[in-house]
Amino acid sequence: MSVLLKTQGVDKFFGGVKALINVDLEIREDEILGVIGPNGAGKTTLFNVITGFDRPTNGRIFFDGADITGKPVYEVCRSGGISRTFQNIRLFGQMTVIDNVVVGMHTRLRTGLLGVVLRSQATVRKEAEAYAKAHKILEYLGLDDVAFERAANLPYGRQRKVEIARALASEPKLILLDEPSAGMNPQEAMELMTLIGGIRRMGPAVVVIEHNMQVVMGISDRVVVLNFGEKIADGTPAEVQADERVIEAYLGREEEDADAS
Amino acid sequence: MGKGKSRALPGGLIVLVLAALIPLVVRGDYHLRVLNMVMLYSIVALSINLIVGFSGQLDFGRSAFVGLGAYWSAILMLRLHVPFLVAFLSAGLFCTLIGAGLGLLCRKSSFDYLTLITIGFNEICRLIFLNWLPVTNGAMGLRRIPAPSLFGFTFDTNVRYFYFSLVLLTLCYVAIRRITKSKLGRAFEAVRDDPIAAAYSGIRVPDYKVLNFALASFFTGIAGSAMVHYTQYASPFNYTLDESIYQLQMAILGGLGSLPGSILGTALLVIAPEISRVFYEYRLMFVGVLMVVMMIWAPNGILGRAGIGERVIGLARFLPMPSRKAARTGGEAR
Ligand SMILES: Nc1ncnc2c1ncn2[C@@H]1O[C@H](COP(=O)(O)OP(=O)(O)OP(=O)(O)O)[C@@H](O)[C@H]1O
Ligand SMILES: [Mg+2]
Repeated sequence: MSVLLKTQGVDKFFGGVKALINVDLEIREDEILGVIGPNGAGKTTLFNVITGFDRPTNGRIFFDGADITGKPVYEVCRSGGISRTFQNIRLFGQMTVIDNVVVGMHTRLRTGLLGVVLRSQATVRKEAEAYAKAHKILEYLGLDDVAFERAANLPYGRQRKVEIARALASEPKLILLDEPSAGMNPQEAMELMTLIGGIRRMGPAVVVIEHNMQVVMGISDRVVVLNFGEKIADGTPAEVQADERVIEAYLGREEEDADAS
Repeated sequence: MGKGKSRALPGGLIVLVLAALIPLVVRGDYHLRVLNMVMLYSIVALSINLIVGFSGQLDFGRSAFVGLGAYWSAILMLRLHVPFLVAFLSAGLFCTLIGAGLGLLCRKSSFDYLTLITIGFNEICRLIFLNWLPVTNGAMGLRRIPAPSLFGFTFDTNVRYFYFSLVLLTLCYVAIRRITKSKLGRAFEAVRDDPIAAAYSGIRVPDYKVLNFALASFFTGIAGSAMVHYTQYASPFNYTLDESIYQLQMAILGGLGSLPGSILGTALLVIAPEISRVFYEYRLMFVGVLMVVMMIWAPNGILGRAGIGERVIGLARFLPMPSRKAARTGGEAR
């Protein structure tokens, strides 16, 4: 099983706040990796650092054999790279759902200004292909009925799915999902988990931050636990659940977790 | 891919044919003049829409680019005697370059300053037009600027200029429409709606802001050129901050993000001062009040998304039927 992404001794400090401390992590190209941890443990920061949104204070990040430390987001997230969804939904609200998805193909869709203005055959063909592909993705996610709705008008749960659709559109090797089931009802959340399994089988490795223990233990091949910025456990769901430090980190936090999920 | 085309074209074609028939009905020079100005200002409003409506950048100094296009083209024809087409197209390219330069300047500092920079730039240009006597002839302005002439045909009457403007507006409209419906236009909108998510989609956000500004400046520039060859007179007093705000209001009133809206907004704001002397005298005050009122109750203008137009239609729909499928539940969380 080859390693797709690797973080090496990554620290991320915000002033005095140590959001990540010496995190070593490997993501394999064919796994679903669950990331759990109490609120403020540094999970989202891990995604931000991997994608180049935040530069690590120390340490390096390797993706697909190359050192990507310090590269800008648009570089790391070009098509065939990494893509993600956000804990606080970030859609292009005024655009239609399908346009949101086509934006996800930005770097793959190669059309020039002249071709666009003169409506060259190649441009028309590429555009049509992009929209056909976007339709397929929407169909897969059960969003085809709202393809032409403005994204901001969708209910919360469906907006999360649009984010996933957009993230899939760039045909990434690695997809990072930040609490994808937040705001969904239990049934929607269960469906989503099946969907994540399906996405994994389509190609990309999946990393999912998830507060719902049952769910994350159910779908993950491997689980990593963060606590106060440190990786305190890394193993199969069974191993992690039996880990002393994990139990300790979560004891007394039960009530908080119930709130968050 | 005939679908989009066959639906969009006939409507547009009908409007175009009807517009082309206008000079058969409207014969007075005065009325034709107003219509011509509506068409030429519409191009300016469309270019503003591209910047403000599609890319979410607030530009307060567009008339500087109208002026740059106008002076460039006028000086080239008056002093260097180049053919109209060369002066006209190079005015567009010149403005593209200046637009790109200004955009790069913003990229170097921050696009947060774009509004301030456009205001400052507008003032700088006005002072150059006013004070660079040997070239611009200062406050006296440039007179007797030749009418456009293409392949031996001179557009020297109001009717001829009507068709010149109509063709130009149509070409600009189609080009801008195609841009907004392309990868470029989607990138502009993505940057407007959420720059962070745009970067995560592989869009080089600052580059696209520069590109948007440069591209829009091309259209502003050729509109400036077309105007100055029509009025045959360039004056530094036409390219002021007041003028820029008036032009911005044309795009806002019609509805940001709506291309027909830009034409409608322009028509309203060009025609209103002609109809009413009072409106003319207090036009900046009216526009000021309009802006405040609209920002509060109708920020999307008349034809913009969820603008007054859509609301009226929505209301009409609501009356006979129990409304469409409730698509608005829980739209905004967090
Ligand atoms: N841009 C920032 N500036 C300052 N502090 C930050 C920044 N981003 C994150 N932090 C801090 O870093 C720590 C980790 O935050 P992070 O968002 O990564 O946690 P999380 O594990 O995703 O939590 P949650 O479960 O609530 O989403 C927190 O203490 C947070 O306040
Ligand atoms: Mg988080």
